[in-house]
Amino acid sequence: MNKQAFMQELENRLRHLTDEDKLDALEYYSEYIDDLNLPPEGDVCVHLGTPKEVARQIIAQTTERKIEEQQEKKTTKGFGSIIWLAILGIFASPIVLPLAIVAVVIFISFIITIGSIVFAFGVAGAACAAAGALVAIIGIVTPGFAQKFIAIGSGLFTCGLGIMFLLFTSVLAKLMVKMVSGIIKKMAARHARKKMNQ
Amino acid sequence: MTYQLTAPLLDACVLGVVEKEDVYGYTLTQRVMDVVDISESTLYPVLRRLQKSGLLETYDVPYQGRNRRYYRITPPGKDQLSFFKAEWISYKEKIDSLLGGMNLLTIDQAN
Repeated sequence: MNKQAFMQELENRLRHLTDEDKLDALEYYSEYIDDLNLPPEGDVCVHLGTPKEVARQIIAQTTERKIEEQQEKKTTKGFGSIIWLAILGIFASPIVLPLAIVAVVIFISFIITIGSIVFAFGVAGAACAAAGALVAIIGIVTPGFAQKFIAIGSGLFTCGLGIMFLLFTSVLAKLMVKMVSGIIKKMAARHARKKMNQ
Repeated sequence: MTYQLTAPLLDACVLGVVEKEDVYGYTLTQRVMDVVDISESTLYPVLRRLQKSGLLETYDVPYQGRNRRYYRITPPGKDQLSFFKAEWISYKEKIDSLLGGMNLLTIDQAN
């Protein structure tokens, strides 16, 4: 990789840093590469490693410094940018990247699965109640006493069953929401603890 | 290299080199690399950290139509370097006392 390509990729990878941090790093590396005195198409990576590796070191150090600065100031201002940098750091490291993706995907699929189950239960309950009510109404206009009796009876029974099922589903949904928010709270607390220990 | 260089020791080495004379990134890296096993991209984050904590400062000097950024040690940097030196001496003496006699001749004979 020649200087131009290296610098372009490095700049791209550092795009989330502040302008000051980014410019300082880019100027340093531009100067360093010039000092290497390579031929015009000389491979920069032989000396410095890939732009990805170089960017990872810079982002890691910048994140560390920002956290220290925050701890000294003891404010939460700029907390968002630290989280953002931390995420970048995680995603810049090759080993953690697949793990992070897997964890996020598992968590999202977990929420989707629970949501789908609750939704399916709700729809089944509502359909059951509606169908039961419909059968009961049809039963009223059905000729013949026995037919009326059976249709209205079974219709009301089904309708009641559906309503009970809906109630059960709403309890289940509340429980699930509580559980998921509990998990998220626990993870946030652990993350905050980790930060304090640094 | 058998022994690993820790971050404070690397800070100390960089401060030590810069104290002798102002240097720019390339020469500093070459000088440290001559002695210890680091990669060429190790020192930028170190320099940036030392600069941000006020132990080093920079100034630009024009060179062949571009700039060269020189690093210079600050008074707090000198204090920190003295501290690092004192720490190193006490650490070195403790390790020496554990390792026992440092007679190079006997080591040669053992080999």
